[in-house]
Amino acid sequence: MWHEATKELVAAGKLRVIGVVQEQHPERAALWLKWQQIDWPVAWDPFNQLGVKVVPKILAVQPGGLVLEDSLHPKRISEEGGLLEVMGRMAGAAEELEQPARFGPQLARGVGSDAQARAQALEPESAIAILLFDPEGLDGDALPLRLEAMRFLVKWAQGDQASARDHFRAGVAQRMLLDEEAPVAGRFQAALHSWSRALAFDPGQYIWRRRIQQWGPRLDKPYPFYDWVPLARKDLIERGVTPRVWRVALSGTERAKGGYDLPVPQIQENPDPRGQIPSDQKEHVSLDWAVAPHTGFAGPNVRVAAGTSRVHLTLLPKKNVSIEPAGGPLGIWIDLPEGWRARSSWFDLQVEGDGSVQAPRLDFELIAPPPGPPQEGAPPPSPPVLKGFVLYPVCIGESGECNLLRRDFELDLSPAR
Amino acid sequence: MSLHLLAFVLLLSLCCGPLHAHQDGELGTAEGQLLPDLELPLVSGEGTLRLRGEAHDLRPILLVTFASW
Repeated sequence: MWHEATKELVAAGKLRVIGVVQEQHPERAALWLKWQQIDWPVAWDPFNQLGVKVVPKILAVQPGGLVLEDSLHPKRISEEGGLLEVMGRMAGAAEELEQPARFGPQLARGVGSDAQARAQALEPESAIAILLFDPEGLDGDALPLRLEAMRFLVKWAQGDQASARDHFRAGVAQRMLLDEEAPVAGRFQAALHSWSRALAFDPGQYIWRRRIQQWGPRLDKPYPFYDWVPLARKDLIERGVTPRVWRVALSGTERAKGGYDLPVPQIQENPDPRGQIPSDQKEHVSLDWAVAPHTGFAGPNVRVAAGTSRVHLTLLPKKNVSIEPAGGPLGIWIDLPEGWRARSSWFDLQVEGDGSVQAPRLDFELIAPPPGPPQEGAPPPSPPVLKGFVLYPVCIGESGECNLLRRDFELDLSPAR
Repeated sequence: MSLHLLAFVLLLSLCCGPLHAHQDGELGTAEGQLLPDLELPLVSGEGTLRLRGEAHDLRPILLVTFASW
């Protein structure tokens, strides 16, 4: 709508239109912009440095930064008394733009050229600048410094004076590094915990809420998040444009449509009811769990039974261990507690990547039963726990000793506070 | 200061205060506030964008903040 409404004014040089996206992954917004043929300059603001609580938000801004209107309708741009007329009567404060922005790439460089010295001189804003502006490395090898910047933001959020915003930023940094490095067990869950703490402090911050809902249960999605991606890719290919391959693939819940329909359970047989498959006592494979809670835990409006969530699991084989899907069932069995719902008790893990970067994964939805009426004197409910086991066929070492192995688990489904 | 003069100054500040924006104003995205002075990377990964505008470019700015979801 805005693109059409402003096209002529922009072409005539009367107006400048810019965008800011509030998303974790810039390549997704880049695909959408290309698909929609939007050619404004659009900035990426994953840490929500702009400080907005909802999107979309349309601002009329005077050069120099003064916000003239914060809830603009397209008609208000060129009509009598509208944006262009108001702005025409005003002198901008553009001389201040001769100086560098207070937050910008200079903060990433401003802490010196030596990686160790830079790490010691970190402040929250410079740590964020390093994560935003130093992806390839100003000093050749950026990853250690980026890890340092992430750890700094996490530690900062653990301080006594930490704000809700500090927790959100720590979550963004952790997810960002997870997407850059080889997968690290526990980091996604840590990001979700940080975002959950932030949201618990400020339930009205919908940018933060959406960051959890992106990976959360379908039941909690106000709308599908990335269901448009296949159509966008198809349309672009038909136009002769080859979309870039993403480093981070969409999870099942990011592709899912929202909805309140409950899953129709598929009856599956327990593949190892007597526990006869050998246990992986040497832990040749790490289990990386992340539980994205229904955001009803924060705020007074929606109350959802604790435990309703989207569970994400990634298998991370150790060095010299490879997953061999042809060698037997590769998946997870869950013992659904009484009254709980899921699409199935058995889920297949999806293998992605080549032999060197194997990380089978899946995500599935859990719906807890509504709690009964509170009873006086009753003990507080114990945290919801999910039990089950994972089966994976692996080959170990050069000799290629191959086995089907089992790992039992108990997963705490409580949202972080 | 006479009462009339005080009233005039008060009226002037109410009417025209936001017209004289400078970097000491309250930061935010509400009417009358100053946008945080941010230069952010472009989603394309190439280049940056300063939200308050660019020097020597006095065109009014329409800032659309959104998400592709």
